[in-house]
Amino acid sequence: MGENWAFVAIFSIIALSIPLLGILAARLLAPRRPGAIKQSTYECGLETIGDAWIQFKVQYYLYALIFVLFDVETVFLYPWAVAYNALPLLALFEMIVFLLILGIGLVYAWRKGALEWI
Amino acid sequence: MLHALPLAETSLSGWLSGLISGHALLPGEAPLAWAVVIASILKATVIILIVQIGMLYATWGERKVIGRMQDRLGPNRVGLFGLAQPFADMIKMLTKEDITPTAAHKWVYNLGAILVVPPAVIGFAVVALDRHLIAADLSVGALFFFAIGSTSVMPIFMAGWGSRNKYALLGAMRAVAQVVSYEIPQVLSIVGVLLLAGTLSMNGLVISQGPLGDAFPGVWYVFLQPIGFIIFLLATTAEIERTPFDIPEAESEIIAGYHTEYAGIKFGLFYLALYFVTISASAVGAILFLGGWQPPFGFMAGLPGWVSMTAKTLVLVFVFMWLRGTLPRLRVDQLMAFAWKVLVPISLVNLMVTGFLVKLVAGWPPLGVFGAFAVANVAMVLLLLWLVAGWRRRSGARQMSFDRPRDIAAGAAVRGGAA
Amino acid sequence: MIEKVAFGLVTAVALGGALGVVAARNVFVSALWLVLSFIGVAGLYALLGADFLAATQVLIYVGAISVLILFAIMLTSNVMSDERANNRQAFLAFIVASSVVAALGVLGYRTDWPVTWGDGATIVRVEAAAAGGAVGASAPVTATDGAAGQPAGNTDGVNRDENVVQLGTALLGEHLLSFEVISLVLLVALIGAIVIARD
Repeated sequence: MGENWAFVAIFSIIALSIPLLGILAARLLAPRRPGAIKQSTYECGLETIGDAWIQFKVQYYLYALIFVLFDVETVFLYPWAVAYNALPLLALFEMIVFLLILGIGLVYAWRKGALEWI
Repeated sequence: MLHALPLAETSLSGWLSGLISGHALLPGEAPLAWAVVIASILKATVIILIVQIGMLYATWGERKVIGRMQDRLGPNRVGLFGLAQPFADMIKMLTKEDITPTAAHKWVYNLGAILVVPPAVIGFAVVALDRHLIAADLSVGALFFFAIGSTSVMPIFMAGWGSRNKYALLGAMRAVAQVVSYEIPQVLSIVGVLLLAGTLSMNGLVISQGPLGDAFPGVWYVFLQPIGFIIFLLATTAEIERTPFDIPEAESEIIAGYHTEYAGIKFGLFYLALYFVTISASAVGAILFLGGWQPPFGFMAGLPGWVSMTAKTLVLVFVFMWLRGTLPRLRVDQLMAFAWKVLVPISLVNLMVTGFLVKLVAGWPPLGVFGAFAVANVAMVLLLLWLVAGWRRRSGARQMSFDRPRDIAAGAAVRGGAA
Repeated sequence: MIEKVAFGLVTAVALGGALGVVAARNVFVSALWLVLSFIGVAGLYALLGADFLAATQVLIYVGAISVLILFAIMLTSNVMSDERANNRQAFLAFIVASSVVAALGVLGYRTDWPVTWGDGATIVRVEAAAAGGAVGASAPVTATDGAAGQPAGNTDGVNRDENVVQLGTALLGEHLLSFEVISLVLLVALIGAIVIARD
């Protein structure tokens, strides 16, 4: 097990080195002639008006929240599924109760329009 | 070279530790630990090189396939059949000027482009190309893969925010909302497979689909979990933002989405990451549903595992290209509704039904198991059609967020599947 | 040795990320540093041999909670500017935070942790692998009891760490009540958020 994680760590480092090497190579090969117009923000040729860092609508936050809840749910589903063969039939109904309670949440969000993209 | 690897791989650590301790390069009990490090570096380099070449030719393959589908030739000028095209593209990317907009938050902007690659590559660490050609057979391999995939939203966010461009930020927000929405059906769709296999280890998942499988031997999970497989495929297409789910970079709406401001090699990195995840997602799909490195038929037992695995992966890569060549892009509200109102409920029902069936068919002969799953899946499809029909009747046909031509196509696909 | 180096590295990542959170001028950048800290914590779990927890930490914290935090930042007005994120309460916050750190430190120092260094499992495992190739790869898969189809043990060269199975068994057996309560807590959080967001 330990050597597996050691491998993952080293793999990550090498994976990180791919883009770094690419950018380094581009530094050496690519021309660099900066200019004010060239480096302006690209909005299809129009002058930019206002800042891009604006306030976003709450809809995104609601999506993220529903996502977190269901993500946590799946984390509980995985050990259940893996251990399922060793568990009695009761485990199925225990999980169905768990899913139904969260299903109420999904139905509630649906009915309240939290799943609508405005 | 590939074939020699399995032999070398199993004893690489041992051989290296002998070598290091023999030459007394390092003192004490260190040799073994250092052997692990050196062996890991070697393995990682080899795997990344293989994957990198695969990625380069996936770009070529995609352009060829889409070209043929659109009655064009695709790249054919650079080298034989255009085979040198990926290298020409690489040189072009490297020699193009790399622009950083003045408005951008320099650090976040550059880091976004750099960090977009690792999540796409690290997933390969747990992909089993062959029984012994797996880098890290983590006991939680499948979960690890999805966990790494889920981190890909961070560089997207960094790219969009760091660019300080309205379209880039909007694209990033859309992309993140989409990726997280489709992550739920994606991870839920494979719970059915986990119920059957009882393990998260990639090798374990493959073995359980082979003749030595514990519970249901010799059957690929795509035959027991067809609905799960379709959900996995759709959710993965959205997760890796390929057409028809590429709304974050819909050029008709928001220029190029979160990578609007990137040029030269930094744009190339986004392109690179897209093809890396296409391959890795196909490989994991092949492991979970198509039996991984197990040969497709019993008489092919002599076939090396990596041949089967590569063939299956390429089939799935082709399916992704096919989808891109065939389907038009969805609208953003359709897209979100599809994840939460269609895919998530179906996958929840599918996993409950699968849980029930696994307990029911324990000890049945293989044909009975297969029949039970087939009946259940057909029943679920019919139920779904009935629900959709009722829904459409109540809300009026045009009110549904699905347009008519798509409905006809979907109906035809379902009829074809049921027949 | 390697373990100590690895421990040092992941701890540095976790603490460095945390330091970045408080030092960054922009709150969005702070959130990004927090993600780095989460990754460091995942590394700590991996070092402790808690595979499932490490993967979960990445899936939930790096992939989900951080998205939630960033979306929350995006929907607040005025906070995206480059103003310094400090205010008059900074000193008070410093006192509270350092007393928490001190309390945790004392607690951690006094607890008798069942930890051994040096003779870690890694080295033993590698020795076994070096001695016998893939452990038991050629051994036949043992037959399973007909009813349940239990995992066949570690006879087929597959990493069948029983961590996840134990976790699943414990969740649906011993800790069933807390398990079902979790779903209620999640439901309440969802309904609460929708109610607040719609007002």
